[in-house]
Amino acid sequence: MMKIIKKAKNLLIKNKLWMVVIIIITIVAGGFIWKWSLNMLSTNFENHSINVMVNEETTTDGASDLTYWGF
Amino acid sequence: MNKVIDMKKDKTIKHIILASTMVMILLWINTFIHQNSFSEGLETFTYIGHSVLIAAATIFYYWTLSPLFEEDIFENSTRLYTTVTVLCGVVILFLLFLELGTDAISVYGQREIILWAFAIPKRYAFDIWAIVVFPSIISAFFKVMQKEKYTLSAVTAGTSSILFITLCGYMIFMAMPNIWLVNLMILNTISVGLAIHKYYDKRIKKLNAIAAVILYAFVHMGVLPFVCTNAFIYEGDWDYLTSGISVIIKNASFFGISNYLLQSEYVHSFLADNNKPILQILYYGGWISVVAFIILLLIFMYLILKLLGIENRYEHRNWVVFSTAALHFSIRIIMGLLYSFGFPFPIALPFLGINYITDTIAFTLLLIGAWENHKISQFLKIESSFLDAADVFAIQDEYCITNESGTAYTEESYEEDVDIIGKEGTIIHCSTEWYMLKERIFCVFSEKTLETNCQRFILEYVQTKWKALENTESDLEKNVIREYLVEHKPSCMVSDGGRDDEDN
Repeated sequence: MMKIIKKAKNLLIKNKLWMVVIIIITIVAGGFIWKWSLNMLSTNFENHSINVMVNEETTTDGASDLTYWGF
Repeated sequence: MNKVIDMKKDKTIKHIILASTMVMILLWINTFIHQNSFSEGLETFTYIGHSVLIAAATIFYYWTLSPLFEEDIFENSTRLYTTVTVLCGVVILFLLFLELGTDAISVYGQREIILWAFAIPKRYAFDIWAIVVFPSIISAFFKVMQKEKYTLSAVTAGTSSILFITLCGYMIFMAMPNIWLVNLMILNTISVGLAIHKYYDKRIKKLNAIAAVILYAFVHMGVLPFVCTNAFIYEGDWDYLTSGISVIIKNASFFGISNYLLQSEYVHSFLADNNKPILQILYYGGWISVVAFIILLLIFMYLILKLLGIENRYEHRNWVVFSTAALHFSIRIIMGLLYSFGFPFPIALPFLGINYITDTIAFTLLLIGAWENHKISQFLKIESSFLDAADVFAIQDEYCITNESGTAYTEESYEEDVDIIGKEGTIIHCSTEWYMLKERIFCVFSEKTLETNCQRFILEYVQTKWKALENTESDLEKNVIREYLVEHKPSCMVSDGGRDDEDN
């Protein structure tokens, strides 16, 4: 067991594999933060983003049943 | 030899990480704006995914193509350059005739380069030309002129070639909107100015160098009216744009969406599918968000200028390319911000327009340049990192060095990791490199540490024993260090070791 731990330690520290581990963790965590923050903010602006406002205005005018982007 | 090692920390890695984070934030903002104000229905990871792929491709191409330029194959003579320039002129004329005679080929007249079935939008070729191709060629010209000691014939040949390349740029991009040509003028002038600065030496008078840059800018200004397509720099309805900007600026709240902006149909139709990041941020987040965004951009500009490594400009082979890229970003940030508030210089903020693809290429080049700067800085510190063996060990007749398995270290391979017992019984992990000079065998021991400033020392290997060099053998020691430096010189450094005349 000690041998395995020592080998793992060698791999991580001596061969600088810890850098690879940190990079992988950063990419995964970054991806989660990226998606979560975009979703969170988009939800926050759900009712008054430009897309929604333009859609509502075009539909309310009765000019067309299609949305503004529907042509 | 007790030299004080320069312990000033190299912050390049930190700056690389910070600048990359800034780019991520800019791409995030771009994604948010496109998801909420554009009809295209953008996926969450589209922009970041594209950028990562493009960055990887840029690194790959730089890695495969840069060795071509390390061999100095283009550094022959201005005579050769003039010949190549004339040949290019013939090719350009040939392409012009082809363009006039057939629809299958178009290089000058349209906003795409068309070669039979292939159509390359010039918007993607522009940055490559202005940031990579033009500065590389200009650097090569100036390097040759410097090599030929700025004789009249060298300067005449070099200058005419530079003017020809400039004209080529205008011919290729003259179909683009006027602002692109103005931007081309600025970037080309910057490249020429930087190249003159890098290859300046005492044979040129300072005022003449400055006059050359100004004259070059005037040549551009003389050419511009002939290639610009219409009178104004903006192709769309300028009054509509400025009135939209003024309505949003006047009615934005300090924090969050203002009621006016929320209810104004005019504002909604103005912002829909409109790539105006500052106005979009004003709509969604108010002035507080815009101030934070401007601070972010200014920090980004500071970081990219720091990444340049101005102190290594004479040693760094491709410094003109990287510095043009950095100044390109700076111009985009300053003028893009001014344009957002109605200044007539319609240029997109970096990573916030459709050109995020070419921005990623430019930024990746900057990162590569910064990494090379880091390597050069480390290399320049090597000489001062050599210590006397007596500084590492107590003075002895012979020294005991063991390899990783604990047995005595003898000459086995060129590089190996060894353990050395230092002055106070501490174990120092070192890597080794062997050198042979005047039929004597020496070994350079480099401390293995996470710190960037590792210490080095030299021992001689004499009949299975390790001995320090005598004080009288300083010349020999210098030669070993010189060999070590030659072995470790980064390929991104200029071959002659920097500037000819350090006093200028």
